[in-house]
Amino acid sequence: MAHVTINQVIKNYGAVRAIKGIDVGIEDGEFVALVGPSGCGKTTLLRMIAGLEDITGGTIEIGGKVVNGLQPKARDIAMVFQNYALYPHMKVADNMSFSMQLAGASKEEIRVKVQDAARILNLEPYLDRYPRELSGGQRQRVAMGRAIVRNPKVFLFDEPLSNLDAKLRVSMRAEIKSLHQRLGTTAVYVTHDQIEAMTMADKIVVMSEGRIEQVGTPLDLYDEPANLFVAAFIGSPSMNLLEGEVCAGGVRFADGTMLHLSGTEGFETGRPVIAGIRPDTFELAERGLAVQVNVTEPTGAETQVVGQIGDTPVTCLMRERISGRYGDVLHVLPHGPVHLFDPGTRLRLGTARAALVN
Amino acid sequence: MTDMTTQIQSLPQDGLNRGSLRERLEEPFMRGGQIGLLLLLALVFFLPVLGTLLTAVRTIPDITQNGAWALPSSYEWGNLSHAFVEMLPYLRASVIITLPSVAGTLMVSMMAGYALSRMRFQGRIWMFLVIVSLSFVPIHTQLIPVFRLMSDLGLHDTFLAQIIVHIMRQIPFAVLIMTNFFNTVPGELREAGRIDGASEWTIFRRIYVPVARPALSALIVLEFTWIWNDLLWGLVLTQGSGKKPVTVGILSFEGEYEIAWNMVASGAVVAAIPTLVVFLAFQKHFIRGMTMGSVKG
Repeated sequence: MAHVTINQVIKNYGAVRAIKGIDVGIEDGEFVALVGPSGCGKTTLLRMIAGLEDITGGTIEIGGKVVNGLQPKARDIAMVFQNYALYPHMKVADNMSFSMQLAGASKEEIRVKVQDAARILNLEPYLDRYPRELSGGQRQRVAMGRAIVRNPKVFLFDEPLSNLDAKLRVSMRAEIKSLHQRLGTTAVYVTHDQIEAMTMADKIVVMSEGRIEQVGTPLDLYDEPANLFVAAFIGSPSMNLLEGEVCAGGVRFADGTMLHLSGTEGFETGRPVIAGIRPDTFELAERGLAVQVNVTEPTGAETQVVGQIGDTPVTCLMRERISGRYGDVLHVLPHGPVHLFDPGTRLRLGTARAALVN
Repeated sequence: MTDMTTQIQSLPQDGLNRGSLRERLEEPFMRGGQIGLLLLLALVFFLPVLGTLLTAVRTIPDITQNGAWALPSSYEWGNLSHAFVEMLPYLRASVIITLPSVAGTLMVSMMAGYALSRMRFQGRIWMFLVIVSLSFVPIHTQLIPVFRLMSDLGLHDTFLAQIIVHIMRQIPFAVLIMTNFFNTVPGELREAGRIDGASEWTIFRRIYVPVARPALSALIVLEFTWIWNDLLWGLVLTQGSGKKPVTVGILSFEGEYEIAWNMVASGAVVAAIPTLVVFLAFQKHFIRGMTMGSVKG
């Protein structure tokens, strides 16, 4: 077990700078998710921690030791790959113990460790099988078993669930989380799926274009996104972003509707802002923001209304069972926080709450 | 009752879908045609073999009187055992040449294929292109230079000379096959190996070589057949009978004034048996190796 410190790390591919100076501190035993759209550099960063990619600049420390120049095997890490990367010609037990065989461990020691890992992962009946004889979920568990057997300081996961079907993904998600809680090993988990990150991680690092957008606990990111990118990325369906300007007692949107807010007093009148409202905070109101319905999608517990306010597309998640049709108009009011962002810097300005509507 | 209803239901359908009748006829017709064509091709390819087999077991007067295609007037199975005994030194020479040549080709091509496919170094693509394009050099332009080279090295009329030349000639094709095969193996296997603490050599030896078994089997069959059946280098690089392979040995049945066709044919049959054995031994892997790329998708 160890903490991981990433200090001003840079990665260049030729003339392209893929990682543009990143600082992250990962505590001992913490489960950290690196999340972001494809091409944001999250996998590159993970591979740099693993030692599979060179580090162009900056330092990475594992357990207080700079590992920049160390080979992967010397870093005391274990990695679970997206496509599992099981050795196809080795049985499950050999797959899990390959690293110990190479390290020259005794047969007895190997047997005990493999048995332990197999018991933790419910793989005991499959130790004598080849990877091709296993289902996707079982292969995934073997890949984790290979990591557990090594008893590393840090687990690295590279989108380990993206090759599984939706149902299995949810159950494996819980399995990995409980495994982490039992073993207590530091884990770095790369995913593009923000739900995976939200449900599993102690701390989320949101990345985009080689930079960190925000670091925080899942609920921090949800409740107080630092900028428009995080606001739109975290949460599903994603946050509605409406352009408007500050007016006396609230915000006036482009279509002329005014939303009465408390908490905008500090801003000068006429200041352009983007108001971010979570879809699930909307509730039906007598008067309020007028949403022109495009479609309604009932899911039973909730109804998702896809429509627009003025020209801006919005999504509302309503508790009520609404059967609106194309062209209908609904009046809604946000009953949660309204996040205010600066359209220029795209940074968070503050949080306001809805009052009344004229 | 049920028969009635089905009949009634099927009646109008027949009237409507006249095309389906043709489709139904088309299928067995096409299928029959395909099988017929394949049988014809198989026959065409089998005829020379049949001719050789028939010739191998008859007497010289029988050949001169009845030609090659008649059934033998008497079956001289002794021809084959006689040819086998006569050919023993040549068979021995062929084994001594072929096995190290195949092994050497495989060794070099596996390592080269792994490096060209998995390691990133300057000039990798060029190196690959140069190696593969060497197979386009016509063999005839190499005969005299290679002959002189081997003479200068003092290797004329040795097994070693033939082994070196065979390996040299086979490397381009074998490297092409192995490089392409290793390209289909996920690169994560190497990375998983590195994290598990394996050196580059261990990754090659304990992960990639076992994974490449189907491709290796296919290569063994092809290379064994090609090297075993080589005639040209066996002729050019040898002098005495001791170092000549079977393909050259068959020619020893040609006398100065007459050719013992039955013995030549028997010799050919004896010489062909090892390649057949190797093919049968590796056949299952061979087929899998050939179809591998397509199945993986």
